[in-house]
Order: sequence, then structure tokens, then C-alpha cells
Amino acid sequence: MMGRKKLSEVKAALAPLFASLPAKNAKDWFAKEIARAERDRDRDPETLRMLAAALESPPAKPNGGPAKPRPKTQKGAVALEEELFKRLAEMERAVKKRRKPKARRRPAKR
Amino acid sequence: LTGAIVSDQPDPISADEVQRRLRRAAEIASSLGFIGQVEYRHVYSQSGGAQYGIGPSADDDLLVVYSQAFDRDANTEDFDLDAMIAHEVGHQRLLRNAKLRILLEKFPGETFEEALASLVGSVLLPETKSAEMLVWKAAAELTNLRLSGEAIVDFVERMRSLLRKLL
Repeated sequence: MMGRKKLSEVKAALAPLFASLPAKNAKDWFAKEIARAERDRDRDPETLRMLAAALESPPAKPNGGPAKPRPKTQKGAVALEEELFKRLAEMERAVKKRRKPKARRRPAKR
Repeated sequence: LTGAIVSDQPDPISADEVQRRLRRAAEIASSLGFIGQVEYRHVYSQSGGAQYGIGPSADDDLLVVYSQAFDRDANTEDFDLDAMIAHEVGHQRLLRNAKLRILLEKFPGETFEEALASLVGSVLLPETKSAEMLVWKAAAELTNLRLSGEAIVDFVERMRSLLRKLL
């Protein structure tokens, strides 16, 4: 289901996420990450650019006032993050394995 | 819908306009690889504009597009029709594609399902702006899990890469 949240509300929901990035300025953080991703074949600079684009036109806050920074990640969330990335890494490994072309056997020399 | 405010109803449209809307929704859905029936209902719903329903087989699956979807599409501050339909097609792919269904097992729960549907939709879409909207929607969904911003960005980036390989 698409949900009733307007695009402007979705962008507003992203403000705390950006505020919690480990940099004074989320734009600078994205610029560095995009530059890193462009040098790494396994990364996806396009997705980072898409996320960074949400910073370009900050949405009007529905309740007024600037976005509050997110509280630091809680204990439960840290455990969830660990589990999440463990599962993601498993999937990435499985796909890599599946996509690896099988080595062809050389015909035996006569 | 009990207690609905009378103004929360769509303005009447002609039969031709109903057909035009249905055609447009069906064309977008088909271009994104949707299998099944597409319907247009000229009513407001709680779905936000579109809804996917799974049938006994993919051919029986149903994508219902409501009048709200066209209102939202006309609003430059809101999701466009392509993004809304792509999100629903994302649900179908997640449930019908065996490779993608594993993702729902690995990442269970409504929040992940919604985020994954948006990310699948964003990969299916050829147009960057609509895809971008769905990437934002996915990231916003994941904020409900109280993950750090860095973790959400990392997850969205890696998941889209993974989906490109799986689709």
C-alpha cells in the first residue's frame, strides 16, 4: 500500500536521519561518500546521489521549527543493525556466488 | 468509510476520463512488468492511491488505482503516478519472484516489506525522479526502526545494488 504520507512529509521524515549522519553537514558527508563510491565498483553512487537530492529542497516542517536531531542509536537498535547487516551480507555473498561463471574445463590434450 | 467528511470525496468525472485514467494506469503497470488485472476506481480510499492484491496466481493479481492517485500525481509536492504504481508492482515482485521472496524472509515485518517494495519499484523505474521519490520513501520507512542515519543510507545503497542483480 502506498500510504497517505505526502512526498513533502516523507522528506520531512528524512530530516532527523540526515541530522544523525556523522558530519556537521549532511551535504559534505554525502559528497565524500559519493566520491568514495565512485572509486569502488561494488558501491552504488547513484543511490547516494538520490538520497542526497532530498537535501536540495528541504521541506516545510508541518509543525514548524527546525528538525530535531535524532537521539543516539539505542541498544536494541544496535543489535538490530548488526543482525540486519549480517543478513544483508549473507544475501550479497549468495548472489555473488550465483553470478560467478563456472570455470570451464579445458579439453584434455591428446 | 464511516464518518468521512463530505469534501473527502472525488469530484465527478466523465466516463471517457475514467477510461483514460484506467489506460494510463494499465500502461504504466504493464511497462513495469505487472502481471494481472489493473482496475481504476473513482473513489477515495485509505490506501493512499493504489493497492496491490495477491490472487491464486499472478494472472489473478489485482492492482487497484484510486482517484487519489491522480490527485496526488497532479500535485508537484507529492508522489507521481509512476512512483505509486511502481511501489505496488514492487509488492508483486517481492511476493511472486522466488529470488526476491527470500528478502521478505530475511527481513520480516511490515516496515521492511514497505521499504523493500519501494526499493524494488525504484529499480524498475526508468525515470530518475520517480525512482528518487521511492528511495526517499524507503529510507523514511526505515527511520521507524530507529536505526542510525548511516545504517539506513548503507542499507538502502546495498539493497538497491542487490536488487539490480536479482531483478
